[in-house]
Amino acid sequence: MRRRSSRDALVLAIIGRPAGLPGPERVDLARFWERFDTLAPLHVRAGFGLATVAVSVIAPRLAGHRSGLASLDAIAADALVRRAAANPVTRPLLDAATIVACFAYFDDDRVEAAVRGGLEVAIDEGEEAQS
Amino acid sequence: MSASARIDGRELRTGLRLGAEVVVVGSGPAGATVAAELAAAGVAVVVVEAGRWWEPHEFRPGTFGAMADAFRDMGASMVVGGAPVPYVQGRMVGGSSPVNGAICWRLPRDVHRSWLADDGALSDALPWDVLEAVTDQIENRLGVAPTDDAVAGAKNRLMARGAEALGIEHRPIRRNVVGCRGLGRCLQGCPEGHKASVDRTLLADAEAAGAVVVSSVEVSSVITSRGRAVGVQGTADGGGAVRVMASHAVVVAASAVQTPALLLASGFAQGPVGEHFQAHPGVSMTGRFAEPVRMWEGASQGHEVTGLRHEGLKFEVLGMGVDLLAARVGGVGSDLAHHIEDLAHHADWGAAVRAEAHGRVRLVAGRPVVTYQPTARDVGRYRRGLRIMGEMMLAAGAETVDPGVRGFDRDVRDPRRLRDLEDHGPRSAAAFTAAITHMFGSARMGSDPARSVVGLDFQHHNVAGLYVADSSVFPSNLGVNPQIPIMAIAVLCARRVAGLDLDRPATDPVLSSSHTHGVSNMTIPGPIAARLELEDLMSMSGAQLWGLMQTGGRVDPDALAGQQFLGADLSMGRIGHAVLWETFRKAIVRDEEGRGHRGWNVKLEQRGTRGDQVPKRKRDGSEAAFAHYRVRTDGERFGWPRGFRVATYFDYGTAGNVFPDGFGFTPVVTVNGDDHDLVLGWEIFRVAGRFVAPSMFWAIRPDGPVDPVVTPPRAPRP
Repeated sequence: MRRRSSRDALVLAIIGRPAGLPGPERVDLARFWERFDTLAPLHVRAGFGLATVAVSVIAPRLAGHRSGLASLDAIAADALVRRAAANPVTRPLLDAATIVACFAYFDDDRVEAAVRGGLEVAIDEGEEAQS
Repeated sequence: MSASARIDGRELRTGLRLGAEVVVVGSGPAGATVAAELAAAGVAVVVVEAGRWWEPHEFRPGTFGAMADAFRDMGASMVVGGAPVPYVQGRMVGGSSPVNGAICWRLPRDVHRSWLADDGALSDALPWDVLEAVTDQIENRLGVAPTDDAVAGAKNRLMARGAEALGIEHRPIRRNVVGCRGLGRCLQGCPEGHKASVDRTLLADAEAAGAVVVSSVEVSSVITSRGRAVGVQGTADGGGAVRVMASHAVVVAASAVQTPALLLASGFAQGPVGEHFQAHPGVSMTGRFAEPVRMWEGASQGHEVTGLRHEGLKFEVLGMGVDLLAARVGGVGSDLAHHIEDLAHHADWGAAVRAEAHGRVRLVAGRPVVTYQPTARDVGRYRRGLRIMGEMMLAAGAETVDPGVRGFDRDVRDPRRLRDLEDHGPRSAAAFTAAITHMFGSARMGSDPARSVVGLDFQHHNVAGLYVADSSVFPSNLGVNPQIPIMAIAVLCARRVAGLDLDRPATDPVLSSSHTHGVSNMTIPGPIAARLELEDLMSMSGAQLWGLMQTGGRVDPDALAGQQFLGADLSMGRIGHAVLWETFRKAIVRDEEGRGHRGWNVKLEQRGTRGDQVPKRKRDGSEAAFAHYRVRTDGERFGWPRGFRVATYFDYGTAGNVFPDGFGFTPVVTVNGDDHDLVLGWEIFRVAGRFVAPSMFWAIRPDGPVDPVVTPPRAPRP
């Protein structure tokens, strides 16, 4: 469970919060991970696993946070992942992880449809309050 | 098409044995073409494909879904070299053709000339006028035509605008589509079936002419007998073993990676197999335009820039799903979110490089591994290609472009900065984001066996009856999209297989073709039986023998009774053979008391399998008989190891031997269908009530009537 939470957090942080589209936290990532864990080749899963450990687990602690990426608020998570993208050590990991994160986010038909259709998606007040 | 001509490997849980005149491995552009050409000539063809059938309605818009389900390794197979580069291969009926960009190019004349300049004998193997005529027929069958402007979409028009502004030759891409509505989902599979991929055209033609397609079966080895290819073995996705015997030829058309891998796995390592792997690595450039581009609309890849082909560069609009485009536009977190909001304004173009690098395909732990390193000149082409693409994008109205080069600007607005990229940009291939989609040369054809794997007739230099039909036979890469040249050359291969003149199509009325399965009008020099012999099994691996076991036929003890057999151990290796034996004799008789059949073994002087067999003798002069057994047919009641099911087995435990009862069993199968000319046995032991099954096999063939009949040391139990 903890591992899944870390990779969910990585996806959420990578994608950010695109305006007008369903927030990544509203996307059913469990369905994507089930297919990813079954179908992705070993080197892809291993690469994303490494990115998860590096960015979700280790980087927050090196930055002085007491817990991992999953426990950070949206602003802190965004700052952390952007800092990791600028770091020559973690950047290659994030480049590959970004592909997986985009696959995960857009695997939700609502997101795909929203981009293709150019529709505005209502953001509920709860999300606005959280951000 | 007939549903009964299709066998779905996902439903095969037990062994399947088929026969044909020609078996074709792979159903992509090459395999489908060979099957269609041969089937039209009345040849009995079985096509074996690792992937499954897809119906148009199954294709989803996302790239991940397509890559995960329809591509090998989720489209992330990686070459090993200085920079990890993915190579993309479809794994479905139709090969990559249902999920490619539908781009069609004829074989360039300058490429053909270069092949002949290197090996003049290829002029007879690949005559230009015949290739042109065949290409005309293929293009007509696939409905190849320039992309209609009505479905081009903004992304394709922008490339035209940019190329025009720079004065570089460009044109709408010629595509194999019918009734395209510009859905922009070629690379995910057209959900409305508008792409004339080979599964819907040439393979359909093959099926209509009687070909059988076995899908979801990965072929693992080619079977040979006396140096001739006589079939293939593989494993179905459902778990069952599959064996297809071919009375005339085996044609391998599995791609420039899978074909050499199969040849190596089958033990055909002669010549440069796997070497001279060549490709078209591609780099790409994204650009942001003020006007909407909406990359997901319009023909996926509808426009190309051809004016720099002489430099080894060809530019085309890239088609991809929204998910992959989002991953391409750069940034993470709030930066990526902003780009995703803005996705409708981004374009992504690609430059395919006719790379000069040669790589290699090897087999490591049973899997193909490709090593490939672009040369310095190839990397120079990367930089030049990106410069030209960036200039075209800016000329077309892009506000900013992103070359995606590590260590270089991600936001370029000034063309002079692009010149800096070409002149002073990174020299390492690792700095560039590239991908490979076209591969060639890894089983090249030629007149010199030292420099080629197959000869001018596409036949392997060392294995009769084994042909290769795909792009691995190409002497070099092309610099252009290869599916049409692959098909054209595959037609010539098929005609060679069938013994037809190269310029005589299979449907020529001079040949009275029959579509009846199993009837052929080929000019074959005498019938060739696709049968295996004892000596063939002696060179097989344990995996291959296990495959034969699973696809073997039922043994009838009555068919064995009264005969003695020459046997050969297939598993103990040289040391075991030196210490114990390699050859032995078995004898089987009807039980004197009417209780079925029994048999025994006899030690032989070790003289190999040819010539007279001489039994060893005991001190009393009698034959050195040992290990008596009963032949039983109630094997279905056992839960044999590995889920194996078999009726007939030898039971060593109740036959009056001196070792414990219930210790040894040998399930047996016939190898050549219903004939009992070759029987394969699998040694199984029972210890503490559980079966133990090392991969130990033997095989026997008839060697005359039993003489003498030997009595077991103890009275056998019923």
